[in-house]
Amino acid sequence: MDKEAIQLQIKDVMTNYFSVESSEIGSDFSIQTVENWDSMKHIGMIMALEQEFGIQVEIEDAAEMINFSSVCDYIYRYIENK
Amino acid sequence: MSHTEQGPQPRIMAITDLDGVAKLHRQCFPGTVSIFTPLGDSLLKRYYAQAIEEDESFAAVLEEPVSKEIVGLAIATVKQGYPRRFIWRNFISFISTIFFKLLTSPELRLALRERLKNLKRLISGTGETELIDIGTPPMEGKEAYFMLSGVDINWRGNGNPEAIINYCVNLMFDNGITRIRGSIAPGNLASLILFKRLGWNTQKVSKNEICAWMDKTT
Repeated sequence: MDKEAIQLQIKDVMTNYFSVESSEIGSDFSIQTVENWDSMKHIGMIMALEQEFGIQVEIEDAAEMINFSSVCDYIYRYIENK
Repeated sequence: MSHTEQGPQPRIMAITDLDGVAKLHRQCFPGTVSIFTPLGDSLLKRYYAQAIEEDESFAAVLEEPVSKEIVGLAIATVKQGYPRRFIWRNFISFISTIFFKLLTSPELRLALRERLKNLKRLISGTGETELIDIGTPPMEGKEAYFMLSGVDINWRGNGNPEAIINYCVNLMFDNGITRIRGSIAPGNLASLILFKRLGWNTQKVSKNEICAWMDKTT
């Protein structure tokens, strides 16, 4: 699965989860810029990503997935190392 | 339930809040998290009263404006060793309460077993990693320790936890504090994300501790 496809898939998940337009999701989409991205929402987002990609995210890694870029990086690495 | 202008509002904790604070503490911090929970309301209220009375401690609540219910709390202190000071000041009450409740409270027995593992740290009041040890340069000015915060389960989300923490942070910065630090358990993802969202720096320093800190910007 190539990076672009993964990124689109992640964008889909986040678009649906945060109820935003796909165009709003970019490098500055983060817990500090998105009003409704609080800790409860974050945990739900992690679970949605786990379900979408069939992965299990450790708590330490979940704590670093605080913006679109870091989410993508984590999932690329996870899938590459599978 | 959302933090809006009509929602719960943060303010400085008052002695008259202590009943509500104790009730909220019991909800937010079960005996496995806080040893004071199974000790009963009298000691719990004194624990928070100390933060109200001490010059160099800060205590805040989040109050629902219609019902006046206390739905959030937070305390911080400039002087390290807050629990130790409390125990020494209330030694007889503390020990006698433990003695009597040991027989009747399984929650206390469990809490004590957990605490005895950290007895040395509790008595010395130290044990948290110094920020300089992880390469963070010291700040000029006073440092404060953010000890705890909790929000009623029905009021979590929608900005309420952020509101009380930010209130406490601003209160401390307005009172000459230049750095605020705290400690988060590595398994506490919700708190980690909350503090990151508020712009705090975080760094894992051991398997049991993540340091969190925020510096005052001019």
